[in-house]
Amino acid sequence: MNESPTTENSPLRLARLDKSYRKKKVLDKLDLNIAIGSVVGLLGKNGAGKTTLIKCALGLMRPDSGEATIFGKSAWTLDAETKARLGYVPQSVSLYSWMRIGQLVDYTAAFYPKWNAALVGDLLRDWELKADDKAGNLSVGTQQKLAIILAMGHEPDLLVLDEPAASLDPIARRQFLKAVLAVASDQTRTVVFSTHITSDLERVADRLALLRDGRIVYDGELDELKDSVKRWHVTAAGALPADLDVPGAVHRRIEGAEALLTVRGGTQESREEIERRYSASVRVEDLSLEDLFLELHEEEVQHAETR
Amino acid sequence: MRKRDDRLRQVMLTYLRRPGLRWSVAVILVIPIFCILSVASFDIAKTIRALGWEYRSLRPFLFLVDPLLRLQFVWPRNSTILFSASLGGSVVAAVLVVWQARQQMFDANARLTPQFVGPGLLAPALFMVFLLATAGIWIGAGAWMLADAGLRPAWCLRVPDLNVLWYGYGPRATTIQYQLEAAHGYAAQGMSLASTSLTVALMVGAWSTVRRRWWIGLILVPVSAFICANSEFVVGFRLAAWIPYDWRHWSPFFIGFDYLDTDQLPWIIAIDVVGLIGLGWLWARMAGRDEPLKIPFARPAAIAMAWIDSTFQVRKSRGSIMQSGVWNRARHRRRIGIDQRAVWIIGGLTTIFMATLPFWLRTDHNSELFSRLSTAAIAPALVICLVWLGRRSSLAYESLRPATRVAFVRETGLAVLADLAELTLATVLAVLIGTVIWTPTMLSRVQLWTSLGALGLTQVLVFGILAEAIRSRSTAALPLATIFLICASELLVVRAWNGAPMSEGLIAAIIGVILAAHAYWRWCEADLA
Repeated sequence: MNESPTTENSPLRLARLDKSYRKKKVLDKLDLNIAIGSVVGLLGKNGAGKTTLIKCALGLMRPDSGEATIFGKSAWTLDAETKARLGYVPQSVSLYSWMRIGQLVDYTAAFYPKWNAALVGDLLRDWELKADDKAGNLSVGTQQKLAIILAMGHEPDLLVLDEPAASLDPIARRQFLKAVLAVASDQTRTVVFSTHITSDLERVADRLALLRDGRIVYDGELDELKDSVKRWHVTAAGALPADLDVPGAVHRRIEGAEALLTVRGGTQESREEIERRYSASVRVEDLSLEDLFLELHEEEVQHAETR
Repeated sequence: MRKRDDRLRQVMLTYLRRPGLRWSVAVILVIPIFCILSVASFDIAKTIRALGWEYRSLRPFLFLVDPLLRLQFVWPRNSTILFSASLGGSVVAAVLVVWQARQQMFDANARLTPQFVGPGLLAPALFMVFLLATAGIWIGAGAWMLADAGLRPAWCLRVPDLNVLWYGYGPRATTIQYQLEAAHGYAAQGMSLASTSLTVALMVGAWSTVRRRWWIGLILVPVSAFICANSEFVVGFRLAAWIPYDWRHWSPFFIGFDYLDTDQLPWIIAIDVVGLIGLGWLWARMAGRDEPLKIPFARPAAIAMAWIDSTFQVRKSRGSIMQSGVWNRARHRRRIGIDQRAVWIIGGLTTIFMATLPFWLRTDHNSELFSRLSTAAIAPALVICLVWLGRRSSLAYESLRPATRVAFVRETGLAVLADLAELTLATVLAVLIGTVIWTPTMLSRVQLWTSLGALGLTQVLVFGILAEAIRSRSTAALPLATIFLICASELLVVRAWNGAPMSEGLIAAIIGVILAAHAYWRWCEADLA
């Protein structure tokens, strides 16, 4: 099982991270602590701050305040040994178009004290990349595959991927997820990846960090989130009140005697109370991650409107 | 029709929003405007008497700027910088225009946009025409005509013997007829300067369209730098030496060269055939068709290309460089930018080019030596700027390889310095080999060695400015640095050639060291992405 993260052993820890671009606040007192051996999906809509978070976390960008640490060391002043434990695939890959794949692999491998040439060879073969092909002649998706392979060759303890599957076709995505699972099967290695593709996240991630307007609004087990947020279909004998009050309701849609409620942390008692008070039946439905994402986003919109 | 016009406007806006292009065009436009605004505020007669004849005949307008700068007695040849700036500006702007055109034409989203392809090709063509007009015709003809032909009557009122002083002509110079003749002459010179700009723009622009074969661009750089640095700034004088006057107007590629007379029609045909094939090829690339054109000699050409292509590829690394010294690590970082062998091959080709040019052009060998020196001053800066312009976007990604931030900055800086030093050495050797062949007596002249010394010191300034530009996250920094370095490098070497003290080079080198130190300090603390 994953170790509970402490400052020293956490592969990635962000504490009170603030970052603004001019007047626009992108990260707002953000806290995140990732445990060893976990596969963390970073989910958020466009402009939520995912890429900025990753850049600050890796020390590519200095936060306005707060601290980012990787394996207990400040991300801004990482030493070579810690960087050797780190793998990174950026959102837009900028490989050197004039180099051949074999030469790129060779060039990258030379930086690392350990390099799993067999793994890289296998991945190149599985993903149908030829060592003699020039990087500049590859499609965007194939360049992305190559970047992923280059980031995995030294078997990093922390692999950070910024929307890695965005340009991959369904087959390549499956292969990529298989590779991530292979990394994750070793309980000492950690994967953090941002994505919009919730189905991918459901397949491999065991934890979810939901980012909204620069804050982590949910950080925990994916299954726990799925267990805690459910959709209730309420069918009553008579018309339901427009302000139907249910503890933990994230989103509600009421039409006459029918109501559709999204409830976070709903209890058996709450359900029975509705059934009793309105002579209703309540059917509980599980939500997919995509639905969860939409509902939790809706929650924020509602809160914003209330404010 | 309206939809197409709107699309053209949209595509043109994408160019105008590029900061690098905006700044480059601004440099081109500001120079003549600055010159025109300055003409009223100087003592013409005093300056004319103080300066040499060549300023009266060849560069009357630019020499007028010197007094405004209050440098006329200290910097007798600083007008070179204005030509260099206009040419440098046009080169950088041309690269950015062609680069963006290529990006757009290869972008699937853009190509699938209705009514895109036509405007997508028309917009860069219009920008190139604009660059040609501004960098060539405007500076060459427009500014001269306005300043010289237009304002001469006013100056004649202030200095009655102006025409005698200036051109050795009598009073007829003030007549309308003379004004028209002068205007025509300046327009012709402007056209030649325009053709220089076009040649340079196409050559350097071609580099950005064929980056997959990046060595072509590097080979073109010394050639285009030679054209920039030519002591006779009008390239038409040189190229047209091959072409008879009567035949010149038959050539679409040499229509602007109106000066010299020879009788080599085959050259016109050969150049036009090659030029047309080249344009067709470029057009095909721009239109997104990658298949090779069916041209004669395609097979041997393909074999030669494959050989050169493989020669320029990086070599295999020997194990991890983690524990190596800083030099080995810097050397490793250079491999993805410019291979050491590439530097020496470029140096060799530059040597052949520069050493044989006097033979082909049958010109004065001393002036060719000066041109070679100017080329050697400009080429390294230009090559390194272009190489690192393409590499800068990946620096953040590279910074996450195992090395501390300070070590990364140090190794990257050292890689730039090594690129620059090797390329400078290669071009200096090219100068010396050319000198041994054509003007061996110059080897004993102090003038040559002081110029080479100034060239070396100038490269320290080049390094400092490059380091500042590379560490800066501004998109305009590197294009502007390129323009500035073309001017500064040539100016300092030209001045050393004309006897300026070595202290000027030393001051430049000290400034370079200060800039490099500042860049190092800032880079260690700056965001990398």
